[in-house]
Parts: sequence; structure tokens; C-alpha cells
Amino acid sequence: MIAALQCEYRKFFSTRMWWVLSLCAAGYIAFLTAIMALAFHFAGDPQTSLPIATTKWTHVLYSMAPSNGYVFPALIGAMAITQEYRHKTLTPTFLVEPRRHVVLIAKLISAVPMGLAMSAICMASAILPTALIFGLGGEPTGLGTADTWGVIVRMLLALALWAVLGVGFGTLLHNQVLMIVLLLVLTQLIEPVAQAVAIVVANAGDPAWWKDLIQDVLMYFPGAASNAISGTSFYDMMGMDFTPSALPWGAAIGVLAGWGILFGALGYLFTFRRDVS
Amino acid sequence: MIEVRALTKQFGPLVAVNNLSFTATPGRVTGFLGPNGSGKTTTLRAALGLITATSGVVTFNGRRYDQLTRPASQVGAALEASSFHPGRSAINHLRAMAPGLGVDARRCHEVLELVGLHDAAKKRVGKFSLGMRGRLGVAAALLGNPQTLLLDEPTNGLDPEGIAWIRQLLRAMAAEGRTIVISSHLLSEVEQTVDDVVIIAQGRLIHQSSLDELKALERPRTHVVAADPPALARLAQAQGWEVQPAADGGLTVFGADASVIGQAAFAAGLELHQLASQQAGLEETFLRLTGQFGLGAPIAPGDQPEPPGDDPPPMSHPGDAAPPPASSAAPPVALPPQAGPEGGAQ
Repeated sequence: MIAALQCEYRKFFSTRMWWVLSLCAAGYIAFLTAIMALAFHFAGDPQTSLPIATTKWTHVLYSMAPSNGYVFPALIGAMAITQEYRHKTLTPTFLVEPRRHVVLIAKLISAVPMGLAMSAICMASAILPTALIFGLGGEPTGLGTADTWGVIVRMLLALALWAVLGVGFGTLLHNQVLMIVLLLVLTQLIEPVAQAVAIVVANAGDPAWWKDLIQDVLMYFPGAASNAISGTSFYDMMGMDFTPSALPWGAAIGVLAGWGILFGALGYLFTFRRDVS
Repeated sequence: MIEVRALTKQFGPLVAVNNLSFTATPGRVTGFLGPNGSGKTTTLRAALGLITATSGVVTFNGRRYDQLTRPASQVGAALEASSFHPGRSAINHLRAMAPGLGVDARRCHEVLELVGLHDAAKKRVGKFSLGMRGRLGVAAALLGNPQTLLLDEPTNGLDPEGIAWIRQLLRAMAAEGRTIVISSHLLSEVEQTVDDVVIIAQGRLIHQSSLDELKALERPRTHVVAADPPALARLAQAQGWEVQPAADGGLTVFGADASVIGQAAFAAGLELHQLASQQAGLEETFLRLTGQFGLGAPIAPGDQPEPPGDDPPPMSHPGDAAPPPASSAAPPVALPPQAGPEGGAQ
């Protein structure tokens, strides 16, 4: 298993993918965060229109990373699988390790440190513009408090787990283009719409157990679990709160990793053991 | 020692490998031969666990590939030359395999040097020529210094210098007692490299023997010109000779030597103008065994023979070609049933 992990690590860092994706993630998140930070800086507290006085809004800005950047660790995980299909490198991979479950488990495990590295880049890309703009403006950055760093660590974890989910997702689909399109459609469109529709339906429904049931189910969606780990989300803060009830963040870690393992197990059963030619 | 036992692989209705059994012994280079689409690559991939056999088993010194410890260091394999990430450099391709084989970076450089790719070590594989990819594939196969080597069409894309190099390399490795199997669709490409031959067609074993025994199966080939060509054709038919029209209006007769033909012509009162023994090639024996000799319908006298050197078409459509051998369980050196007199590719 250690050899298989080493192979995964070497495969990951020997192509251009990791730094191209890192640059994309850094640029995208820094851009979005900087715009929001400038808006807060000039417009003040969105709820009171007074100058920013608490660190609450820095947490919202830091959450730009997990809210918008989760797709980058997910891509890193998924492409660890889809690249092998695309370039037919499963042949050397399976020649070196013919026990395919070992290969898959190595990919799931190695997704955690690689996902963490990508998460660190995402978080830094949200923290630096915020700290710069708020710092220059004399507003609180929150970086001096343990509370803020606790939030940052939880966001790091949430982001890194998307890499595990990505591996499972890639195993299930293994077509690179289909994987990227479906990943975006599912996370950006299907889940938010499903959450919104369900809330409306739940609110309209009379019996309380019906509302509870829908909320209980929604908590287990990957996006909801990710937000539960982060503890704070841009959309929550803006009052666009689709999921009033959330899992405790410890349980949400298990749920998000569980999605990755579930997808991986299904992929193993249905596609990963097929003939390689 | 590689043992293939009753290997069968079906892809839907197509039987790619059909109850195939053969062995490859240490210290010898075994040529695994057959036309394109005859099941060679499928057999090799099944042996390496890349595809799941429908039935049967392939063992290396008694164990299946996935039962070997650090299998790639015991069995080195080079399959088709496209299994590389184009953005990864040659050295990094090897280094990504190295931990699973228990070898270090020094060994990676060593095998690159051995295959003549040292200067291209840091070049991305996407910029490699077909020949360079082939060499990198061989480097990967040699990485763990394996006792067994499986190379699929190793001469593909190599220049004559490269072919000579791989020949020397394989001869030297066999001399060290390793078991080596190389596949090819052309016997002539590997004729100077192999000790033993395993010939398959349409997924079935046609022939297994040493190269020398295969040579003993060469048929005499005689060029005959008669004063009365139609009479010669009638004689050939009466005698059951396999013939092919020659360019000068004469006939090339297979399977009967000059003295037999001369005697028959004399007895029939036929005036011969030429009677010459020709050098029969091993390739002709190979094509005959694999049913590629005289592909298609028999050619009527006067028809143009197909140009020699044409690539044989894939054999995936039963019925196109000569009938398959009656029984694959026959002794390995059995000849397949012969079709009637036909012309065709040489």
C-alpha cells in the first residue's frame, strides 16, 4: 500500500495538471474574494450599512474558498482516475499493482494530502485579499483570533474532503469530459435547485414531520455537509439560507468522505474491474 | 516458465482466444505469432490480468500474475506503445512505476540508458516518435530486471538499427536463462531472434515447435513451364498439386519437388521447357499454417496473383479465410487440413 501511495504521489506531481489547477483556483478565488472585500470595505456592514466593526464578515469572505473553490480539489481527485483512462495509463498502473482495490484505496487515501495542499492554496487565496483590503482599511481581519483560525481549519478540511469525493466520482464515471460537466451541473445546479425546491415544498407542507423529513434528508447532501463542516457560508450569511438544519461538523466530515467512498465502491463494482485494453 | 492452459476469452459473440494452451521455457526466446486480430494481444493482456479470461489460466512459474509478489519486477511487459501520459517525461513515467517494483531512481536512469533514451529522459513523452515510445516501453519492461519478459510487437516503429538492437538484447537476456515471449504478425521480423514458435490464428493454436522444426515443414517450391500450359494445368489437377500461376505463363508448384514433377510430366508425355527448384521461405510456411496462404476464393489460372508483402487483413470474420484447423487438441506439430489447389498471396 505504501508503494501504491508513492506511485500516486509521483503520478500527481509529474504532470502540469496540479499547478495549472492551482493557478486557476488561486486566481478565481482571489478575484471573487477581492471584489466582495472591496464591496464590504466601501459599503460597510451589509446588514447595518455602518463601517465593518466585527470579524463576522471576514469569516464570510474566507468562506468564499469552500463555497466557490470546492470544485478544484474535487477535480484533482477525479482526474487522478479519469486521466488514467484518458491516456490509457491504467495499463502500467495495473501491471505494477494488479490488485485493483489496492490502487483505488491508494487513490482515495492520497487524495487527502493532495486535497489539503489544494485547499491551502484556496484558503490562502481567500485570506490574502481580505487581509490586505481590510488591513489597509483598518477593519478587523480576525486573523489574530483562535476562533477565526478554527473556522479556517474547518474550511480546509471541507475542501480537502472534496478531493476524496472527486476520486469516487471519477471512478464511477471515468470519462473525463462527462465527469467535469456532471460535477459542475450536480454541484452548481442540481443540488441548490433541489434544496430550494425542497424547502419551498417543505414550508408549504402542513404536517411538521414532512418538513423535518425533508430537512433531515437535505443535511446529507455533499454541499450541505461541506457547509456544515465550514460552519459558515457566504450564502448562509447573505440570508439565502436553504438548509436551516445542519449536521454537527464532525458528522459532516464522515458524510462528505462517505459520499466519496460510496461513489468509489460503486465505481469499483461497476467499472473499475473491467477489462483494460 | 510461462504456461497458458486452456485460455478462452470471449467478447460478446466474438471468441478472441479459443482454448489456447502453450508453454514458453526459460533460456529461450519464444515467438508468439499470428495474423493481426488473431488474439495475440488479448492473450498477453489476459496473462497479465489486464483482462479477465472467460476460462483457463496463465501462470508464471506456477503462479498467476496477480499472485506474484511485486509482479512487475518478476514479469516485465511492454504492450502497445500508447500507454503513456503525453505530459509526463520519460524518466517520470519510470519513476511513477518504480516504488511498486522496489527500484530506485538510479535504476530508472540505467534502463533509459540501456534503451538509448538517456538524452530524452526529461522530454515529455508526447513529443516522442513511435520508435522512442517503443524503446520507453521496453525500458519500463526491463525496470525491475525481470526473469520473464513479454513484449507485444516490439519491432513496431523501430528502424533497422533498433530492430538489430532489440534482437541482441533479447538473445543476451535469453542466454542468461530468462523466459522471453515476443509477439509479431510477421515471422520474418523475428525469425532471427526466436528459438521457439507458437503460431495462432483465429484464437486457436495452430503450431508450436522449435524454429528448426518449423523449418522442416517448408514445402518444396518448383517453377515449371510447359510447351502446352493447359495440359500442365490438367496434370497438376490430376496429381493434386497446389499451384499458383507464374508471371511467365508457367506454374509454381508447391509440395512436390522437381524430380516428382519431372517424372509425372514424362509419364504424361508433356514437354517441359523449365523445371527449377526455388527457395521456399519460412514466411510461406507461416502464411500457410495460419490460413493466410491463398486467402479468399481460389484464383482461376490467368488471374493476377495478389501483390506480395500486403498486410494480411484481420481474421475476425470466420468464413473469409481458409477453414480453421479441425482440432486444436491435435499434437502441436500437426499440419492444418489443406485447401484444394488455389492461387493467392505468396
